[in-house]
Amino acid sequence: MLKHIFRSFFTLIFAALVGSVVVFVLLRQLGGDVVTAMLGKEAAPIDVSYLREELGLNQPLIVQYLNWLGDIARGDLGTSYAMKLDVFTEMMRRLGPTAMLTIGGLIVSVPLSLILGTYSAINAKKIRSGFVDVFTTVGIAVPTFWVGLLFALLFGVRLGWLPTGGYIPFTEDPLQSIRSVILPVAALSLGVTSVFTRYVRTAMLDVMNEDFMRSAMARGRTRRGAAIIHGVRNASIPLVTVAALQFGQLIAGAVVVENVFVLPGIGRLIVISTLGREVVVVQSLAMVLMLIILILNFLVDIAYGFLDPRIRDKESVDV
Amino acid sequence: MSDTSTITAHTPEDVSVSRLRKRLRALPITLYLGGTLISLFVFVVLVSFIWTPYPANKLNLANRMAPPGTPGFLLGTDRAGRDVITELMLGARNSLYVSVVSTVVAMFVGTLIGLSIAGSNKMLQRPLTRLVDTGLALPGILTAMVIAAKLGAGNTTATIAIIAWQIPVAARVTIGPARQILALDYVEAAYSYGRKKPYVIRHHVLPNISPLLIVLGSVMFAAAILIEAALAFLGVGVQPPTSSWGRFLNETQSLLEAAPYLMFFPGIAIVLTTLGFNLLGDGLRTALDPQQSRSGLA
Amino acid sequence: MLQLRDVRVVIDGHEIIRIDELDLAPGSRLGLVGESGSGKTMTAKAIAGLLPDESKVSGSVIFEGQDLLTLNDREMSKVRGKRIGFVFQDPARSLNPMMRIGKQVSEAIRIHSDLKGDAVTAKVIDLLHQVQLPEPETLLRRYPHQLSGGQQQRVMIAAAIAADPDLLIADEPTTALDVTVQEEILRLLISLSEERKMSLMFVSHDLGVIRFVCDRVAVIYGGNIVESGRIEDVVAHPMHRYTAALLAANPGMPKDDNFSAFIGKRLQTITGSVPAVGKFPSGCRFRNRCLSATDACSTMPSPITTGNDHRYLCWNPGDRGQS
Repeated sequence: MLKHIFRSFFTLIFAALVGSVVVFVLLRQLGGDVVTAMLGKEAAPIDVSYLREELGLNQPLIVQYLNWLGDIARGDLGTSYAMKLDVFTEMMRRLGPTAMLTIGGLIVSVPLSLILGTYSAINAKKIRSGFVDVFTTVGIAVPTFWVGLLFALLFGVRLGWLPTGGYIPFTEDPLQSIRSVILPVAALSLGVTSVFTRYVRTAMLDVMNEDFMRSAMARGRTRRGAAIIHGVRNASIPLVTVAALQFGQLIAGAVVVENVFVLPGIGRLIVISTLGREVVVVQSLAMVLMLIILILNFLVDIAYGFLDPRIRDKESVDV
Repeated sequence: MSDTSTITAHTPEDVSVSRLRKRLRALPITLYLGGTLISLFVFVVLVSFIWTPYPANKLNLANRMAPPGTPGFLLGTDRAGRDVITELMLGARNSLYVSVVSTVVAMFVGTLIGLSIAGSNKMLQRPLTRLVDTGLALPGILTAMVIAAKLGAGNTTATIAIIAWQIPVAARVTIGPARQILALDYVEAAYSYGRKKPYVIRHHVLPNISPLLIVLGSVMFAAAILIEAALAFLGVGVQPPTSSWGRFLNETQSLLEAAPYLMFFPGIAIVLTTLGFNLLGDGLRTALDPQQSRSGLA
Repeated sequence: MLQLRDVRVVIDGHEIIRIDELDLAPGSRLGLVGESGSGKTMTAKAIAGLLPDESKVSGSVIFEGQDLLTLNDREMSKVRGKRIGFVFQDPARSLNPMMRIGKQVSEAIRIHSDLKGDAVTAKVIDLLHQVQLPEPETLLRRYPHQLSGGQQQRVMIAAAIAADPDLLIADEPTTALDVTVQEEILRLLISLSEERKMSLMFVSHDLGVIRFVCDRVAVIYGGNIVESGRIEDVVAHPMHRYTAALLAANPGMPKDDNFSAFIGKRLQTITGSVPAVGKFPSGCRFRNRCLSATDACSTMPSPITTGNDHRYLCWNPGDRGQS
């Protein structure tokens, strides 16, 4: 188990390093000079040299990289050039909506996928499971932003039940706050739920073929009882490994949905910064979001070890 | 003699026709559905090169936001007075262009990486596989933002972003099966008579995993279309004057009250195309590998 | 207590099982013997209602006066585990790797009785004692992979008898185990059956093992019960040619209870192999492999019963081994 944790931790560090190098190199080397990208080709030479100095672009690349890493480690994500804002402060200010979206997405999609996927697996080969298949097939094909627009049109504009945009902080008015993210969370959850339902179904179908499911039925479990008591527990192992993919999807979905519903979150910030060619801001934000995803993956990996008694016992394990 | 010859002359043909019919009927319905939708999509794109109802970006200022059914504008016009059908046809063109380029490049590079990892030694294999796994967990939108911040918005940015995102997908899907095939007895035997690994991979592994790659390509295509649309929607993808479904949708966002119907057209176009490629992938999976007709390929 | 009448199992248009008559008396131990592919496991599954969905079962399986084939999944689940217990071939795969031993042994108790909490634990500890597992109190909290194959099978047996069933169906319970462990498990099954007055249906490909455990035997081939009777009668005077061939393949048949003396001594095998589903000949299903087949064998023989309820389906019976 210790070895498992150690290996997961090593993966986290390794991936973070590789990722940071990729983000750094992409932004510094791809398609010409950073300052030109930020200021445009007709910028005054004095501005250019000032910005170069401020960004430390006159130092060797490796020094720039290490400085950048050091800054991020200290929580210094740089300053937005156009908005004259400290990126870290701005990010923390915008954490609320993004956190509500992703956590809300998890709360909706995980139980829903488990129910739908299990239902579909238990009733495989019956028409009933076909409905679930149709739902997931369409759900995967529908773009998140379009679902967002449809929901906004139907529940916001037509029925007037829920706001079509804007955000009320949770601390200010919890009820209104939740109301303001219902539509975004619903839009965000559709795709994620569809993908995850398919994983659940596959994992459950695999487990249903196991001998111990027959044993459970031989002890008096119904097919459904065995699937719920034994199946879900065992299917959770393969599911935990793909759950990591879902975090990335949720965060990507949050970026899109924030822009549909005009929520002042990190996703909105990253899009605005991208459109404003704020290379430094985007670089830092991308790195932070990547770290969040990697750390979540790491935690999931550890949970995986705790979940499976065979891994808990073993000293070394092929994961 | 004449009797037997007439029999032998007719029977094989009849048998092969009926067998073909039987095999066609045995093919999954998803394959037909997907195939139909994709053919339609490609057909529209091809037609757009020789004919569209109006020239690209022809602004009919007298007929701005005409509702569907307006004479001359079957599906109406957008805010700037552009014909919706024309916009949809040209948007399809851009969708196809970006997804073809990105899928082909990502498939090639990703498969190459996957095969290399599968063929590498055991010490390297595990960390590299986990690295690919991590790459898989990073959302494509994020990569796109990073690239767009530097390169500026546009089709190139979208294409590079989709490629960067799809490479780990292709690599990850290839590694497992390629490793299984490399471990087969007859493949290992190939080494004993002096075949080198690249040869073995080209002649034993690649042919065996090609059905998988076809399915993968179809699913990746669907994903590419979705991301292209999403990036264009966010303003990071293709820029005016080039038409795009995603940007079209973005423009309809401000018309939720004034012309809500407009958002249905590009949305439905995206859904049908994505659905088409996904169904095609599902169908191919079932047709090529009936044993493992499972859903849930990333 | 268990009577199978005209049981047919049809899968994909092929008749896999056709059993006209098979009886199991209360407290007795019946062996069901046949090669792999003969339909013995299918028969056990048909009784349990655990056949795959696409199979069609007809006839009647009367258990304690109730026809099990008329029951749906929910009703059948009240029979499984409570009145009929099951032990399967591969204990490692038959136990849920992610569930503690105690929870799996207590599963039938929790489903079928009102016992709760400590009473369940006490019963599980008692059960683990009965199957002669050491330190039941700590074993409860262990996972299957921490046990040996023999221990796993004891756990499976404990779980199968947890709700005190009247009948235990054991499908090749020792095949996956070492020879020495096999004998222990077989002795355990015999003693449990005697102590609890529990009937046993023992499915095996090994006549020697059945001779060791059972008092009656039914020989199955191609889904038909080709011969049945008291084990001594069948072993001493095999009437069906297939039984004779099975015996010839197992020359060291024990006359005493010395188990390890004969196990693993199989020499001669039966010519050919069991045909694939749907590829059996018409008439007597064994005739394409039978060395004594005659023209008469192309039609289905009718059952012949001799003294001591010794029943067989053969046109050309012999009472010695095939030569």
